[in-house]
Amino acid sequence: MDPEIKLFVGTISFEDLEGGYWALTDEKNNEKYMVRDISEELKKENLRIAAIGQEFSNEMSIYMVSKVVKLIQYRILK
Amino acid sequence: MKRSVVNFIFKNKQILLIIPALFLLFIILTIRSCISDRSDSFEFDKSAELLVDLKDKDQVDKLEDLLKKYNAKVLQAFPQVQDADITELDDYYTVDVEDQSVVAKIIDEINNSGLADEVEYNETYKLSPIEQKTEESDENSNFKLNSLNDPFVSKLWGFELMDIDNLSSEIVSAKPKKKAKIFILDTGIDADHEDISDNYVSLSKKYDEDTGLHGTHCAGIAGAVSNNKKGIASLNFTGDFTSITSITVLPGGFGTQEAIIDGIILAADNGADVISMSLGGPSSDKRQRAYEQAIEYANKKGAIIVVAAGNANENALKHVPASCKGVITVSAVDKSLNKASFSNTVEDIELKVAAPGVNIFSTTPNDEYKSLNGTSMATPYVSGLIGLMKSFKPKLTTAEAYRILNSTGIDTKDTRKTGKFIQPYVALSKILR
Repeated sequence: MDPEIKLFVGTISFEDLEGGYWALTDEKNNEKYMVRDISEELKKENLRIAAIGQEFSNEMSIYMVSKVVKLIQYRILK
Repeated sequence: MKRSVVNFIFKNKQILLIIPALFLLFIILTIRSCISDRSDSFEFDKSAELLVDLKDKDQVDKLEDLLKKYNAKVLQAFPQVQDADITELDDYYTVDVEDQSVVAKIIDEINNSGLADEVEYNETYKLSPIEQKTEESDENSNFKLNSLNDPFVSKLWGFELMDIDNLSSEIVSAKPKKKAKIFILDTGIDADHEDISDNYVSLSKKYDEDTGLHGTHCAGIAGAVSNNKKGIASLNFTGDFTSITSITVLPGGFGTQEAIIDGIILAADNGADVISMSLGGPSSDKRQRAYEQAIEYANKKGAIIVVAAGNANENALKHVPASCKGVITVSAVDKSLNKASFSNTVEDIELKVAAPGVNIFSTTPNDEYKSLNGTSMATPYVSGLIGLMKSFKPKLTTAEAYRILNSTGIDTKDTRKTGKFIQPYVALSKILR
């Protein structure tokens, strides 16, 4: 299945699982997405962003989370 | 990565239209933000009580009319959304009322009007507090193992709950029928690690380094060299019971189902007794069928497959290979035998057990050690135990192994959701008697 492109508005957090990863919790539905290849600029706890990203629903990984997103464009919000 | 995005774009022609629109949207938003200094324009109206998902945004006038008597203010929640084709966010409106006592009435009226798909308190959209992981301090650990001389063994809280001291004392002089081969399908393993190398058997040099740290961590749990006065210990107390072999299926932590299935087949073809997979992803019928064929193949070749339940705190049925037939699925518990907050639940999984998965201390590349959390960490405890069992009973099947682990395991605080917590000493005694 091809990745789905979505608009996200949410907050960044660090998840201390399987060695750790950065996640984005979408305010729309409170869903937590693991962020793939997150930029250094976004690696800040509680950072609020708006972003367009590809959601991967078939990702196999060591993290074993439900949802994975790769951000295409983002903007940091106040 | 750039190439894969480009490939993806060209395979999906509609994206050629959507991507420029998305970029245009961001450019417009950025310009708007610079001109008007309204960089907070993405914020919800914080004072608004309700968030309404209108069925048809053209009916916003009707919503305003409906709420006029309450002196309510209706505003678009995400005015910046311009391309309605890619999101439904433009259907969302906030409703702000001064008189809090009428909020419930307003919700009823909106629901009864048929104008909205959903009406929610705005607070529903605020973030939940960040969940504090149940990380536990090593410093409180005061137990001691008399039978093992590895310096960090006191950090292995699971050893106390699994009665490892008695187990190691009991079988340290026992002679196994074979050295069982445990294959770790993961990010690779640092084969030169001081606490792994003596138990490590290489299949190919390309798998003998870790592309992250996950594979090395799992390898240490399943089969670290014990009684070597270094690092940690595993159930391979003498080095005669099990060996560890790596197959890299998730370089950097991510990979394809095909790579994993290839890894299962490769391990089975190379005599794996146990295949340990601390990995997974969302399930689908198609994916399940493909995995199950590979699992059946490995089972027929004598391998027992142990997999992680997953870390989404949901039913493991939604994950593969956790929900596949023919595997033993492992949930994670903490020191108090509570289900780990992240662990998927296994109530609907046929063969399931629980093992330590919170604050698990083990090997990481370059002779280092670290504590990690995850069902990935619980899985190699079970793999190590089944490897030990197979070293004494090489023809042990998946069904037999599970029957023993389940009948000898102890209850957790929520056994229905976790399965029984493994008890290696009693389990092995069933094999040896």
